[in-house]
Amino acid sequence: MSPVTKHRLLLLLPFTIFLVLLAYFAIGLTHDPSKLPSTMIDKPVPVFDLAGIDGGPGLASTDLTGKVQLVNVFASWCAPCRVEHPLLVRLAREEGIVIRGLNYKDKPEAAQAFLNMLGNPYTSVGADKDGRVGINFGVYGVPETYVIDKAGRIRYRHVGPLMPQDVENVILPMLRELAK
Amino acid sequence: MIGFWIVAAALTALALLPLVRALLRPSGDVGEAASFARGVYAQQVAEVERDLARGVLTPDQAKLARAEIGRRLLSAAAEADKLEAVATQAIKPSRKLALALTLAMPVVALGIYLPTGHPNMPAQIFAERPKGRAVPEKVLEAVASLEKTLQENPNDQAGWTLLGQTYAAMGRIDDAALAYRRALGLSQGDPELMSALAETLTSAADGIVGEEAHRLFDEVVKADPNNPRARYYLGVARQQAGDIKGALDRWTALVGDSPADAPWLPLLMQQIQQAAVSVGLDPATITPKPKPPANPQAPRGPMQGGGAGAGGGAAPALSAEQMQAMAGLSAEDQQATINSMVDGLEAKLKDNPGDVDGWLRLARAREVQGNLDAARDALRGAVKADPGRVQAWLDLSRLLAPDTADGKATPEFLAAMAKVLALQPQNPQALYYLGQQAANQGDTAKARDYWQKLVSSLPADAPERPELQRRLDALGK
Repeated sequence: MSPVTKHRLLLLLPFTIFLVLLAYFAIGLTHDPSKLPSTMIDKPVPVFDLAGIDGGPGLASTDLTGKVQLVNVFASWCAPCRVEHPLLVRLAREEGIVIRGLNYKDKPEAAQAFLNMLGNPYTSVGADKDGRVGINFGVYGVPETYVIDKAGRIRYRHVGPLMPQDVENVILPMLRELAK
Repeated sequence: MIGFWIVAAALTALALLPLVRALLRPSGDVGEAASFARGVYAQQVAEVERDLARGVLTPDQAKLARAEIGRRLLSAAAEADKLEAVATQAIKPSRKLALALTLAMPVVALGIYLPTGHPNMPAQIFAERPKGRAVPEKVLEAVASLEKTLQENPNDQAGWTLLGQTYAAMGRIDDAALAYRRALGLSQGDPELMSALAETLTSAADGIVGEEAHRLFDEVVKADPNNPRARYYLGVARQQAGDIKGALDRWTALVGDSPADAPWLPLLMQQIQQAAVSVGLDPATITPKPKPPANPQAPRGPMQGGGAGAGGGAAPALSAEQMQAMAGLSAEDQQATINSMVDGLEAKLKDNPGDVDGWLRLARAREVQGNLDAARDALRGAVKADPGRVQAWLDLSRLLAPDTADGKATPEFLAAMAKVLALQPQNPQALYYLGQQAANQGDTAKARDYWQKLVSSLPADAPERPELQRRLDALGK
């Protein structure tokens, strides 16, 4: 191989690196981030005991047994949480579903203002100020919603804001099934 | 838009420029290198001669050195020849390559952009919206003086209202809410202020109808059942709570109670259309007709055949494509689905005959299907369910109206018109036909009374005016 051809091949290197990266990202884009598997599915909820916000009832792992319920991870700084909030309020008030709030990396007063403004669908709220409990749950980002069965095991995990069709097609049927 | 394409073209040209230049540049490098080498070797030979002359080198050494330089020169020349051959080979297609690239790059770029790009997509309004809008100095001064006045006289309800409106216009949503709250407290529950506060709270929550806003809108509707703003937002609240059907019920009822020229109708229709399609309903079937325009530019005259409030304004029907996309069904299946939905509605109404909105919806659907007898039956159900609903009487009389202005009016039609007139004393169709009936019965005084009222409500240049005047004159004194 003459030095000239070698030189030319070297010029192709950035382009080759670009192609490899392109392929890598293209494959990554086909993944649905909301369908990431959770290692916590069918496992008992992590053990924790959190204080409430603004003097309200707190949340401990022992509250999550004995009844089928939802755990909703929310924060006042999270815009999609606002979008799903009216839906949670309806589930709590009109469908009688027990929803526990996990207030993720938030200031208690900001969270309280958020609930005052949009309504409080939560039976109780745990203030997870440093996000440690969230990490144990396997929270990637707020909002997330977990279905907890009577035995206190995590049965389903929804990433991102709940949409009406998610509730009608997945969450409500599952809650009914688990409540049997 | 055209500006975007010009910029895109300029950028493409800019990106192409260095490439094309590099490809078209005549390659002088190889020849230069060879002549440079020759110069170096010539200098070296000259140096050898100088050294020989000074006696640094012996003639034998000089001879050896010259031979060495000669060998290097030869090999350099050979190398240069080889390079030149390679270079010309490599450089030859460059002109073609340059041309191909110049053409291919814009074409490929367009090919990628057109299917994926959205040149018409609106800018992200939230990101672009400045935190505080640029407010003219004068307005700021006025706000400051208003704030000062209110400090001195905090019980000035109109002042707080004005301040709230100004803050809202300036984009200071939270301050606007505070000001409206003060005004509302002073007014002791004025529905308009309640509604303004609730709307401000909703914008403060990024468009989510929160708890307090919802409660306020509820109270507004309690005090003023026809408040369109509150009724609209209560529908929005149902939609946000995931109850699309509940939202549609509220919105379609609002359409039915809105005049056809109401400013909120286009937005409302659009919302209904989107929401209905998202749950697989046909917007045209579920949307009732709006009321006749409140301020008609040119009221439909009775001579054109009694079209009571047939001013259109119903939701635009779905195109065939949209319908198919809506549920992925064939056109026949679509029709069958709609038919079965309409039949289902009728069955439901048999069990619940008091649902006046249901009857109106059914009538509308039957009319769209072309089954006028069934539509009339549904409207009879509607007026039975709520004799005070003028929309029902208007629709019924429209479907019962004689084909021509002089046609024979049935007693049922006239009874419906009498009901309309009782509910809407200025209704032109009712005035015309009831006048006609009175004239036929020889009650000229009554006929004159009706028609006189009708004439005075018509604009001076209305085409039906002379004819009506002729009839009035024909009644005699």
